Amino acid sequence: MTFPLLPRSQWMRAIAAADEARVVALAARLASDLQATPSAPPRAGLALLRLRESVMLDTFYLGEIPVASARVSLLAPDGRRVEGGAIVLDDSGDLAVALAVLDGVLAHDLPGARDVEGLLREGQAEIDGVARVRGAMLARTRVDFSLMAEVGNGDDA
Amino acid sequence: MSYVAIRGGAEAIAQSNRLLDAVRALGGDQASIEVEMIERQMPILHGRVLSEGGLYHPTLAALALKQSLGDPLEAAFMLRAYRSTQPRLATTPIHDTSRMRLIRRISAAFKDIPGGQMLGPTPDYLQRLFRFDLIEEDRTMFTSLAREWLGNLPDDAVPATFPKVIDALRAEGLLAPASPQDAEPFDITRAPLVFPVPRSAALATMARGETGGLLALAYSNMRGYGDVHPTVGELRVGYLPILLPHPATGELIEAGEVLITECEIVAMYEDTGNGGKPTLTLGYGACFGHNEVKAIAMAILDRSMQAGITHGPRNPSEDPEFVLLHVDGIESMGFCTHYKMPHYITFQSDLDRLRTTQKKHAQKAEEKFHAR
Repeated sequence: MTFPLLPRSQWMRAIAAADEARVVALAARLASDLQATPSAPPRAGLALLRLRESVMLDTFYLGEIPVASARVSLLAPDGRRVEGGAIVLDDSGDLAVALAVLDGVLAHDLPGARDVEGLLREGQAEIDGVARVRGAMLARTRVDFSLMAEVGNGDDA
Repeated sequence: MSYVAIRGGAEAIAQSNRLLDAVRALGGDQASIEVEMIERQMPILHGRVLSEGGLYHPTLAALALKQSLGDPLEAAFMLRAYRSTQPRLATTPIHDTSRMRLIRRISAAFKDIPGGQMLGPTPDYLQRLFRFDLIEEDRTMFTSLAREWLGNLPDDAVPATFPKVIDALRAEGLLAPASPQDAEPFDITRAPLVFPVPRSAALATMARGETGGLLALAYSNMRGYGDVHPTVGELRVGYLPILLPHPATGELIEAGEVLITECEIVAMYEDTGNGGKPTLTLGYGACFGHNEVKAIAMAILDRSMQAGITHGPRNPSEDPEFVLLHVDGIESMGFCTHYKMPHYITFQSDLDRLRTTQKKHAQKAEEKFHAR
């Protein structure tokens, strides 16, 4: 498997699905090691969810969702400062900061990137497990409402 | 209407608030119900609070239900109150529900739909007979439910996303052509409804409307005060991935997912009015959580209000003002329950007027008697 195992657009979802206590602990350690500083204050609040309905293709707001986001600057071993960022459906700015640290470490292959990748794998395995259960919900309840005239008196096959 | 401030009762009110909390624990030595239990074991009730509160915050919705002793209206009110304290950080890009990761998908219009029909979790085919064994359900029995269901999961891969049924109808020319409209939607959280309102305001109002209110008005149309005659083209329940821009790169990333229910109803066909061929008419409903009654009722009301806008309202469910001003659970519950609060001055005024009127009435009767 190549490093990292997912495109960056999927990292937040995967890491956020891993054990939160371990995510926060790893981020705290790496933030200290890499002298993390906020590029902008972390923010927590709401976002309007804009949806395109499917009959007349109008857009409307379905409701609001909690959103937390953060941007951090990390000191790379070569002396450069690089950035990480995170935005997640949550109301904790602290969690967003932790995720931003891990995002920056992974994006720039900084020391600790393999540890972050471990969390990524753990989270992705969680997501895969949920997807498998959802797939089973569909597969086990697939229905064929055949007309009586077509199948006689028997039940579904 | 005027209100007069009252004094006194502070101690009684404080005790009442404490009692409301203590009621949960009185009369037994049970453990406190955990918030996660509400979210997981009462997902339908929980979803109702999510949608009527207008805020997809699963943990707070469950907490609100716990705190309100299971009252969905009060719980939704708490979510609304909470959301009003939070800053607005963003508006998401336009999301398309064709990306939903489904757990249920049915059509009443066609038995064969692209990708097939999947019942998912539904009470539709239950006989509504009690299962008394659940009264004695212990932890072992409960955990074995999931373990047994999860055993031998099928290996055959089922796609998580499916094409829309109405796309096939549109491709066949049975629906009026539609092109994407990207006008900024009406934000009902920031602006009052002043009629006429755009369709985006109607959809947003119904999306956080009260399930029973929407159902009652849609039912009036079903029973005869209207003529939508709906067929459910497609009803789907699933998780919509939420895409937001990465704070550092600007690239859209998946920030999480929300459970939604979506329904498209197909109604009677109509002439397009511009010389084109007749086409089927449609209605749309969607809401947070798993709430099929709400999504179907909303779709019927969307269709009925469109008919009312086109032809003039012929019944209550076709009148956007009537529908949209009466489906919000927080507003209607608030107005209803405010009648419990002290109205001593206004009621005394009513009594004063009645006594004066009775006195005049008696005087007139006496004068009439003496005039004979």
